[in-house]
Amino acid sequence: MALALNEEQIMLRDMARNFFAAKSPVGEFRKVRQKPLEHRYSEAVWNNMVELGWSSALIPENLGGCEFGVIGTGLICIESARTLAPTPLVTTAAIAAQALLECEASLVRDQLLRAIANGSRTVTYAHNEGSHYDPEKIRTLATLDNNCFSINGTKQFVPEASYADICLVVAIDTPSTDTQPCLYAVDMQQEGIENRAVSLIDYRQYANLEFKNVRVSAAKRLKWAYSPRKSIAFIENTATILTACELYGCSLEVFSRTIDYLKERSQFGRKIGSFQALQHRAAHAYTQLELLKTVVLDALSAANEQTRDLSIAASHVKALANDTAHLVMTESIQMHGGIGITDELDIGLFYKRARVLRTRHGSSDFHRARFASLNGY
Amino acid sequence: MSTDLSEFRDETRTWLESNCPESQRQPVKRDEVIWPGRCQKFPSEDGRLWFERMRDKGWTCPGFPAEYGGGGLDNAKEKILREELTRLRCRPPLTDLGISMLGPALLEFGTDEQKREHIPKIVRGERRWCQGYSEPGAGSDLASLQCSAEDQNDHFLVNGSKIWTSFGTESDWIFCLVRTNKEGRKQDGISFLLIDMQTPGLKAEPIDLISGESEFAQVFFDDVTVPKRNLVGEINKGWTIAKTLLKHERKMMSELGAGFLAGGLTLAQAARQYLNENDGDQIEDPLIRNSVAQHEMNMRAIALTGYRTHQEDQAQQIDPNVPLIMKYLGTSEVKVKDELMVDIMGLQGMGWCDDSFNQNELRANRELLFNKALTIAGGTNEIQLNIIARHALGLPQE
Repeated sequence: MALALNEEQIMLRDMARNFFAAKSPVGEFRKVRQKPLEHRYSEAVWNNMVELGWSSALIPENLGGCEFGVIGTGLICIESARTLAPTPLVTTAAIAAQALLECEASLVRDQLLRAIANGSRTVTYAHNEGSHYDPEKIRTLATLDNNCFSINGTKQFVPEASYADICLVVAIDTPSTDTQPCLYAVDMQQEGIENRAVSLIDYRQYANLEFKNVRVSAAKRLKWAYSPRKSIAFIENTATILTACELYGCSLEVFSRTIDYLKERSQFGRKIGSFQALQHRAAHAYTQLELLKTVVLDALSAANEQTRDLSIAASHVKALANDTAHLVMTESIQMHGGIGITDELDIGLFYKRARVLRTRHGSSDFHRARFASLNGY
Repeated sequence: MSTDLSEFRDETRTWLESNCPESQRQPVKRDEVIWPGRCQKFPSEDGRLWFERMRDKGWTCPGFPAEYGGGGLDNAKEKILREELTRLRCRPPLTDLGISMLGPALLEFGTDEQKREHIPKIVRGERRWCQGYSEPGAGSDLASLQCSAEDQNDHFLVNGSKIWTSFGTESDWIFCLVRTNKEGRKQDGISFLLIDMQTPGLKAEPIDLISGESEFAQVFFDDVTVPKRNLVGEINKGWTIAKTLLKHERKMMSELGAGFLAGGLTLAQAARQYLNENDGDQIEDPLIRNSVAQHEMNMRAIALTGYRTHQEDQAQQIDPNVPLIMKYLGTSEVKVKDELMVDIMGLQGMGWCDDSFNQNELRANRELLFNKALTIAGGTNEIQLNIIARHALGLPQE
């Protein structure tokens, strides 16, 4: 278990930090949020990231990827969250790529991975179906009919789905005695997909997808490399950990801006950062951020090495990231006072992003219950 | 790894396997700790054997120089020994502030004569040490301490009082912070003095605590004569030594909770035993289950953070601010566990003394009561947060 970064990883992190600060400051996000719902992402920033190889961070070298591993990918996600960079990084380069890597090699799979790597295709992953995180509940069905599958069902709040080229849909085969879910690579131009963009408080791109008799050829039904349960668990764990990375990035940024504010804002003739009431709250938040840093590194390293306690590490990091983000965000707004609730200040944008991320891939209560089960109580 | 080190590991493993009695390879309970000095008692024959065998190799203090009777191991070998001790779950053969606090300070700040006099006795467990820092009027504001040592040409004359001295009534010697200058900045008039507790005029009285124990004492000094050779470091420069020692103490305290609690019921075991209606591993009460998971996550995060600092240390990228948070986090979380345990046991967990209550139940509320000290001693939580705000966050001072 590696809890300290190696030199290569430190270089990648610093490079990512400089890149997002220069090419995608929060101002870029503010521009993107003015765009129509269907186009809420920055094509220019994403193209730059593709050139740097970051769209292929997880993809092995023999498929045209940079193969940074989960740790390297996580580091880029953390830095990208620090400026709210609006790109399909997490959805396509991290989660969809991870889903494909859990499938057996095939023409369709390898083409998709190459297309993600060279930036020619945006791919999203549609598993969760409702408003709450419930990975066990899959009602979407794929019915075999004349060498083709016909998909019916609904997936809500699918990220980047309005402009994605391909959607990896998790569906249950029917009729079949085996109720294990399978993965289908669905072209978004296909007939029968009702694609309705939805607007959430974080201004990012989501859509509700309804599949009505969407025809998919047998070749686009991807085979899991291991058992469906194991593969899906691995994808969900990785997605959960990378979502926690985003929360960590948002929290770090907001905390650092708040400490700066405590040092510059004066009231009652002194810097407000000299008041003990605020010092103790800031110091407590710092202790929680340091714990989160450790647990993020632990979870990334567990995913990278595919260790046996990966599920424990994933639930731990998501619960802690949720709670720490909540603490840091609400304290930061409060410490900024009135300006903290204005749209002009960036803090509120981070708060809104974090509020959505806390719900995606599981609330703290969900993950504490799962952590308890995994530990045998 | 060099052959020298791997040979050392093999030899150490073999030696420990044949010399550490089976009974000394389980978590240690509070009343089984082996202390040094005139009051030394062995809870068992195995405990005595284990202590004597380790003592004879100097491994009660493996990193202390061999010329003063220590184990003389370099960092790499000391680490291997600790790993092998952990692997076999060996108990500490001897526990004392001399080993963990005074010894390292003497090695850093003491004269050769002081080292020769005190270090071998620490290694051999012949003297038990206690610490005289806090005073009735100097708690969190430690540097305002008043217990004075007057220069009488050939000796110091000590007058005043120290409080919250752990095991003050059972100890042989006390290392003290005393005031040697009343002028100027309060930190600049403090000296570090070693005092034999048998000296006339010195008296230690136990303090009864809410837990029913009296681990702490108040120590009174009434014209106590202390030889000049017992001054460690320069006169009026004791505050530097004190700060170094406080770091050791806080590190020790951040690791302490988990160690002493080992051996009792886990929260999950207790919840099954006291709350579940049916057989089964899952805790049936969802709120208690949530709280247990929350606590276990926090303990896991704290343990991993300790491990992270260790790895960063080895990669030479340590963040000096991280150790600052460990005492605050570790001691706070121990208190969370204590409260939760008593909640799970209900009134059955609040028995004071009676055979209606088993050892786990009596112990649960003694831990609950005693461990309130953890976030006070060695720098209160509030002092820790002040330090973090100043040093880690660079927030302005008033």
